[in-house]
Amino acid sequence: MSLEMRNISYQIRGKKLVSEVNITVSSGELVGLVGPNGAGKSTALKLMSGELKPSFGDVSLEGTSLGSISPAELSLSRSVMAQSTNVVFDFSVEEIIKMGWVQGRLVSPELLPGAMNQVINECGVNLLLNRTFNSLSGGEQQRVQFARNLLQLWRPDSKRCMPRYLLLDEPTASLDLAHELLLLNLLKSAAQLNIGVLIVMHDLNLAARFLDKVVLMSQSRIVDIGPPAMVLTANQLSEVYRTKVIVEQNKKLDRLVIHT
Amino acid sequence: MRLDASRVPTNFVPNLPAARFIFLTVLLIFCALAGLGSGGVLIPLPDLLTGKATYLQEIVFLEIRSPRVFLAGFVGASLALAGTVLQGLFRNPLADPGLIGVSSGAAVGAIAMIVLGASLSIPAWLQPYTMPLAAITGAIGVTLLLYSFANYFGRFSIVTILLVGIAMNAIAAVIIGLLQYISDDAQLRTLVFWLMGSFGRAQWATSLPAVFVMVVASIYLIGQIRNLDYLQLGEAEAYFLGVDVPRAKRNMILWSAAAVGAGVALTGIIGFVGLVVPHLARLLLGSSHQVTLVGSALIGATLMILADLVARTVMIPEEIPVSLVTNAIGAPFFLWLIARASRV
Repeated sequence: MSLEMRNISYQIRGKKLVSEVNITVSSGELVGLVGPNGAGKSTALKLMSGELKPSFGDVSLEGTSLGSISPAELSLSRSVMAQSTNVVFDFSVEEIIKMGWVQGRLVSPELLPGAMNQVINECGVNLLLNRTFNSLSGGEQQRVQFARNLLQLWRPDSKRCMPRYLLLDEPTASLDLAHELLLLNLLKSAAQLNIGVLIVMHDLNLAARFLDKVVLMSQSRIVDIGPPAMVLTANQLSEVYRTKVIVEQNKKLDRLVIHT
Repeated sequence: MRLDASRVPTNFVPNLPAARFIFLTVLLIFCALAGLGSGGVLIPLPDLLTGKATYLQEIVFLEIRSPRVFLAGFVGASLALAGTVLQGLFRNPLADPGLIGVSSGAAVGAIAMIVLGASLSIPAWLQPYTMPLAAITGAIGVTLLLYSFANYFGRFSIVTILLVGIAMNAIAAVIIGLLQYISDDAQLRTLVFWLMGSFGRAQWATSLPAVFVMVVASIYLIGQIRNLDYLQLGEAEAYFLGVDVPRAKRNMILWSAAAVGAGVALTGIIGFVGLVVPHLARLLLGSSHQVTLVGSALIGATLMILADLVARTVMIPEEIPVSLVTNAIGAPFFLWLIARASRV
């Protein structure tokens, strides 16, 4: 049960943005892409989502190549949150979130109100519901988009449904620290519901605290891949970010603390 | 934080502003009746039913007035619907059916027929259809050309379509200019009036096939509600939500061209309806395509019937081109929209 990219390269006008990358996201796993700007994290995520077609290699969902799955079918098992969304006409927040309900073929529409209610409460966007999307701040827009993504993957019985994957490109970029924590906790509970998560993130402390697996990228390649404690080492990070990085095990918090 | 019960959405289809739709429908029926009754020959509609109408009134009603109001309604609805679809597809509030080359393509076809038609020996029974057929051929030709160029140059990106559209319109303008230059005085007068649009040529024989095309195209376009709503989040997001984006774009452009081309072929070029009515619909009903598609069709039909009524009654027995009326109403309204948008 996995979403997998095997030996993927992507180049545009002769420049390689991603070289020979292998990433596997299994059901229930929280995987993060970290690395300096321009390392190829977002491109790797776009290749994983099917938005970009790889120049070489193949992305597969449960062993089936992404290219041979229709967009409609794909939308039932994977949801993608882009960095930011620009909506031209005035849509209400409620309308935007409801667009996530693509599972009409699988799930009775009578369950939509309950599902909406649940994601709206979980993401704390109750009070934004009747506002227009364009009147929200960047952070509020991200929370609304996140709620839409959760609705897309919502199922009445998460034990017995097809595998689901959630891909997010810097979903916490505009969030304040409380909402950042909320979002990562929600991702953790999503993983407990068997959803495989792939997230591009910059905050290494949160990466160390929440991720099951870290993919460290630099200059279009994967430098290291594995559990946070193995990958996020002072030597490796200092080399990749070209600046002195200190990694300590904080006894009181019982977690890694990374700072410069 | 508990959710207040009244806010809980009850269904995927939101509570449509039903009252407004009923109002718009009633308004459309009222305007259609006014359009049928008024004009150079006044026809009190109850008289037709009670048999008190004169023979002249009956003939005018059946053979002139009815096809005209009928055609005006469907052309207005198609232009407005195509405008809404293209604005949604391009995610641009300034998109208009003229942008994808339909109108200029139709104009090239129709004007070529006006200027060169006499030198072709066309059988008499085909005569009423030659202009519409030439216009439709032109509309489809230019749209296909635009489509294949845009596809070839820029993988069908929206910016490429806009730029290729500008080039296509310029090429069409050159051909039209050339035809104008070689035309004689009578032809020149005919083509100038064609370019200004009119429902004066409406007859059942040509209106019915055109309306059939418009209805089929409109049904297809109204079926695109979800795809259009998803596209508002961006093309990538629409794909993530299950839309086959290249296919949806191609089909929507071609069906919009069919809807507009079928109308323009009979009536000539009518400006501003496709641009302004979608804004009016959004203003009255909201932005979701669940309401704007049907809403703009209703408003477009109503406005076009009214514009035609004004065009043929403002200086009886003369008739002014309907495009003068739509432009006179549309342009100030458009300015008001710009002012309103920049106030925010």
